[in-house]
Amino acid sequence: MSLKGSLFWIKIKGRQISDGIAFLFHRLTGLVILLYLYIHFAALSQLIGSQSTGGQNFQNFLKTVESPPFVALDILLFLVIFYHGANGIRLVFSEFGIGTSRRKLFFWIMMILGVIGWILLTYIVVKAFLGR
Amino acid sequence: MENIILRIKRGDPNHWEYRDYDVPVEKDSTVLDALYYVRDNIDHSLSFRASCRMEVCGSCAMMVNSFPTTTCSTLFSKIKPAKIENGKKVYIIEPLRGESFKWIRDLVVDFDEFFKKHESIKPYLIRKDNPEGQLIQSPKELKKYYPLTLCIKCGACVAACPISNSDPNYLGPAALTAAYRFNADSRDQGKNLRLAIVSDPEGCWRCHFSSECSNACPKNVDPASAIQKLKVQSTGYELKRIFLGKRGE
Ligand code: SF4
Ligand code: SF4
Repeated sequence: MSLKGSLFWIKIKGRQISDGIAFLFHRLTGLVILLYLYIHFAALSQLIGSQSTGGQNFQNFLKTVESPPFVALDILLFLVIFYHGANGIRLVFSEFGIGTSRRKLFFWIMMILGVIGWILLTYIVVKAFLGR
Repeated sequence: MENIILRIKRGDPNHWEYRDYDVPVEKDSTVLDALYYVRDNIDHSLSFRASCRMEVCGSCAMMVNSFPTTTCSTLFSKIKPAKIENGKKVYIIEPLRGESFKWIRDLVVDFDEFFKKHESIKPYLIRKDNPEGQLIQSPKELKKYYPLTLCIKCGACVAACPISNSDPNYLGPAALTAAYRFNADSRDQGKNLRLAIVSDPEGCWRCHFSSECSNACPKNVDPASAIQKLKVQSTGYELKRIFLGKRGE
């Protein structure tokens, strides 16, 4: 791998959304998800031993992550995950040779499905948040 | 007729610069026409490769405004200028980029690596028997691989591929497409030999389907699709190898 060559991955000019840009976003969203998982497990590991304080640590933790900025970040995270998932499903099909010649159409169908999924989940989360 | 600026990368890896050339172009002038104009009328020392002028030989691929393409089939009227300076359209011409192409001088790159990779996948019909007479093929069988035979080995797909640009060992879209072209040919009997070569982390599995190769291909060969079909063949080959112990022969 060459570093100079890898910078070529983030080139956007002259690239199609359904091809090169989709490829770039797939990588970026993958990194965001990896980073999130790391933070997620690191934060949860801080709760080990929380029983000794009668679960107080856990309650404090919940209070923080259920605050409006965290919920807003969660909703953004859903968008990242839905993009990565929807594009990932498209890539799995493509790697089986399905839909490779109708790339644009396939990409946009998956994006629309991804956005529908994201809106639905956002609705569920916001409703639960407001109904607390 | 209008005058445009051709901004050409001149020199070699040790010393280079961009030089501007004022070139008159007509409505149907190609980028290659403009390069010939520069060489014939302004600077005889300009080096570039070209031959047939009709998208058959594959020699004239270069970066035009950062996009790899065959210059003989790129009309100025069909592309946007990179910028406008003092009211004149500026087009930037550079040698093909990428780990597979070593820059030699001006717009000329070394294709040795590219053709080594192409050769490595055995791009020819392989027969186990020694048939006499013609090998008959139906139109349906021909259709399975015909578009792939249009590849002119111009290298534009390789220069466009983000993986080829970051991994010098990746076989690249042109070689992999050629492997699928012969594997899909009903007259061929060397499929497993080729699959043993391309079923490799540096073969078809290094492709991440960004499809930039297909967007760049001037012959509409669609290498990205061919590589995904090669992955399907490769999966079957690997399953047989793992469970039945069959190797390429
Ligand atoms: S589809 Fe594969 S070969 Fe084509 S540009 Fe993308 S990674 Fe490269
Ligand atoms: S597949 Fe297309 S872009 Fe690639 S070498 Fe062949 S003709 Fe050129």
